[in-house]
Amino acid sequence: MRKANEIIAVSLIFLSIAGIIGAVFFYESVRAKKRQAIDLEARPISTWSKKEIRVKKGQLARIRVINKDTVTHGFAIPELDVKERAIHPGKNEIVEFTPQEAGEYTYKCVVQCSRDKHVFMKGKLIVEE
Amino acid sequence: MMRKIVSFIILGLAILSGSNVYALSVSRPSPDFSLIDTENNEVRLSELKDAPVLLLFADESEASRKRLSEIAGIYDYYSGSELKIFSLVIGKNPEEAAKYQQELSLSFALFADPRGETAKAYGLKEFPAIVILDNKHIVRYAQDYAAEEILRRELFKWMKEKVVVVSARKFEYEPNIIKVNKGDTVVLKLLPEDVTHGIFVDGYGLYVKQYLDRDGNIMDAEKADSHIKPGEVGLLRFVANKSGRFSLRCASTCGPFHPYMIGHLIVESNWRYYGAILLVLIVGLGSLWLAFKRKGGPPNKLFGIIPLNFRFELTKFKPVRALFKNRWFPLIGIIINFAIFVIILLAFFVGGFYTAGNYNFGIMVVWILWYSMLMMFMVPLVGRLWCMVCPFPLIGEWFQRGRLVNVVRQKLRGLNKRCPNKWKNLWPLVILFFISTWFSGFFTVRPMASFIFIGLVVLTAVITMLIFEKRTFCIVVCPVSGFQGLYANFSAFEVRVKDPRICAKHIPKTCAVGNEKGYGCPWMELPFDMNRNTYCGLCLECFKTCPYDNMAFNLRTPGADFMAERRRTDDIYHRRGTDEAFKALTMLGIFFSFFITFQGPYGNIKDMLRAKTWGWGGFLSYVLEATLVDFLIIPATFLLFAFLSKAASRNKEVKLRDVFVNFSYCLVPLGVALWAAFSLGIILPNGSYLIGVISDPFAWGWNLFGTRDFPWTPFLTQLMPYLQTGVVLIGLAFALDYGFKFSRRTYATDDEARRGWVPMFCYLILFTIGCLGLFLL
Repeated sequence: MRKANEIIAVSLIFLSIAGIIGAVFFYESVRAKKRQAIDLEARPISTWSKKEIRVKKGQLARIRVINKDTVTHGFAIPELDVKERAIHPGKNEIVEFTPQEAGEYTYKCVVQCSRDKHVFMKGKLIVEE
Repeated sequence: MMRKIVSFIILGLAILSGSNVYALSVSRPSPDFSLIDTENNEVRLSELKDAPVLLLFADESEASRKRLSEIAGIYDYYSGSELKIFSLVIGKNPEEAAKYQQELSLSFALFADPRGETAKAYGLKEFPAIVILDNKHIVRYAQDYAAEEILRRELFKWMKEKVVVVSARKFEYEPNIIKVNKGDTVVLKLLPEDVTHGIFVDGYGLYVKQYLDRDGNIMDAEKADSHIKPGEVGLLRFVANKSGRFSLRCASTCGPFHPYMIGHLIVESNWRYYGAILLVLIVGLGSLWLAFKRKGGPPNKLFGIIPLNFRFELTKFKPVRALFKNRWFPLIGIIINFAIFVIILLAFFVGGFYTAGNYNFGIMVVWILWYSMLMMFMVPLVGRLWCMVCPFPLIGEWFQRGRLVNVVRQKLRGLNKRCPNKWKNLWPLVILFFISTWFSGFFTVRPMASFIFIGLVVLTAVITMLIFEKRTFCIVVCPVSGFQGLYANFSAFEVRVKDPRICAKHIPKTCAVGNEKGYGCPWMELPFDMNRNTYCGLCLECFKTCPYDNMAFNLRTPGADFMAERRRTDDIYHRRGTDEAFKALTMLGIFFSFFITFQGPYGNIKDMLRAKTWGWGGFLSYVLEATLVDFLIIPATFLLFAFLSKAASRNKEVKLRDVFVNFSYCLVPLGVALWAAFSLGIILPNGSYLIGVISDPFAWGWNLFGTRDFPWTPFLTQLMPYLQTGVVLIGLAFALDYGFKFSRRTYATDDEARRGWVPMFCYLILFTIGCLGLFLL
């Protein structure tokens, strides 16, 4: 009985550490697989995590724009008619579009996120054949 | 001769008033006018009912051209408000005026006054000139053109709508303090300068519901969405029908210090503050009456009615006693907290340095939920309740004992070094806690900074427990231990021996050395002799080891420990001295700094704490100021009043140090109350983030309970000032009642005690009125 107590207590501790960390990352990886999206993070100061993103022509592209900053950012691909949207800190949004033509386009931040670097917050969207 | 002097005076006045030659028309109703603009639209004054009007009269002169370009600033400022602005050109017809408008590239329409009749009606002869009419179309200003600031001041005076353009930048509003009168219609225009901001008005519960987009069109904000982007102008129009001081809070995450971005709206007249002062005086007079009303007073009753020795034993109920004796209690609570802490540390780590703290499980649960619960409930009610269930020593204690649940009778593992006597008081924690507050601008908002801070604390706990005996970490190192211990003297619960006679015959004292049922007191207290809460961590081992069930957990009169007699251990370990006095004093200083910095409207102080710059004028200055205030100014002021107390008592033998230390315990109930009031200012505005963060703890887009997108919703902010005042008054009442008891204990005779009490009484009253000013003014 007393030995069982000890085993229960020790198990609870290991369960807390390994179990919680394991469950968290497992759940997230399951979600990521279901999501099937390319992650694009907005970071301080006025930076995208990816300088370029590659997608295929004619296929549905899914980009998950994640705001990992403490200021509001925006996202748009004007040339592909991907409308302007604001993404607030701690939030993320999945942007879907199907590019018909191959080529290079620009995605950019459309909400002023800093005084001087906001205008440079852009990246290349490469649509391959 | 008289006539000459009088005419000189009149002439002199006329010259001095200079342009006030026009002033003859001021305070008179305005003549009606009709204006035609460059597109041949007509405007009649009589049709602009109840709208204030500003008229700029210009001609073709250089000065007029200049002013016509400048007046665009006034158009901008007042767009969206009730003010009607007309710029008139004298001596031009509408077509010529249109050409003039194009020539100057004006963004607003010009009106024509071809024969200058409108100007003549106001008695204007020189241009450019400004006329201001109030809502009833009484002429209030008719003079040369003046600088925009002066015009705005005049408009603020005479318009029914008080238009205030508030610029927002990280992390301050400008103006940061806005004053209006009760009944004014306020039009607050929010102008974000650097990034997206928002605004919320405490007490009124207002968010921005309309805004001007980049093209100047009035748009409705979606769902009272309060994110105003740079280039847009948020519009907040309301009637200031409640007087007092209201905090303006940013409603859109704009940077690490976003939760601390605060402005003040003051609606005169601030009767709440005067009312609070009155209440303080009433409490004070009530306390004085109780103290002075009869010789010898009732020294062993609180407020004259509650006996200090009131005890209600909770462990007399069998289930409670059984719970306290069970080795799983409080261990199960500790393990649950340990599991929560794993999530917290994971959230801190995953959050990194740069993500928003308000969407991070760790930041929210530790600095919003736990900290508020600690200061509002756990400490005031049960003192070291958190210590009972704290997970930090779990791993270390497991190592020391070799067991988590069971008891093994062997020497504790590790180096087991004795905790040096010179550390067994509050001085180490006075210093350590103070130093940790320097970094509150980092760890309360940046997840990784919290990971480092708390990680260091946990690591130090483990290492300390490998080297030193038992809970040396808890007594000497843990930052929150100091104030929990001191404030536990005030709490309503205690662990005490029931019948000391049983202990007198009991050898060995198993509560101190342990037996097969439990370990000897890990807090290195002597439970059989313990008469204060300061160093009891509520670990409940003594309940398990006592073979006579002689330990009790009692509900008792708050603050009973203040009157507990000195024990030998107090003197050996230099406790009950200046260490506790300085803990009480520095807790006040830290409250003051935290309040001004985090809950005040001063962006420059916030910049200092968040180390926008590290050196002079930045972080270093903050540290210096905090050190001066906490260790010099506040203690010196208190010492001054202690000195006055001794002088007033006319007792020459009593040591000033004893007066200082004894009265410092008044600052415990007051400190408890101030920190509880401070925490109201944390949990009520920002508690709603907790609802979102349980669904998406790592801001990964999860939605475990469907509450992820719960919007930020300040709660009960209209009640906050009253709750804060009430709590502070309660603290003051305790401080005053105990204070007089301390006086009787310090001085030899009743008369000395009464005389000596007066200066200290005044200090407490003045100090409380000052603190209430922080909350209400």
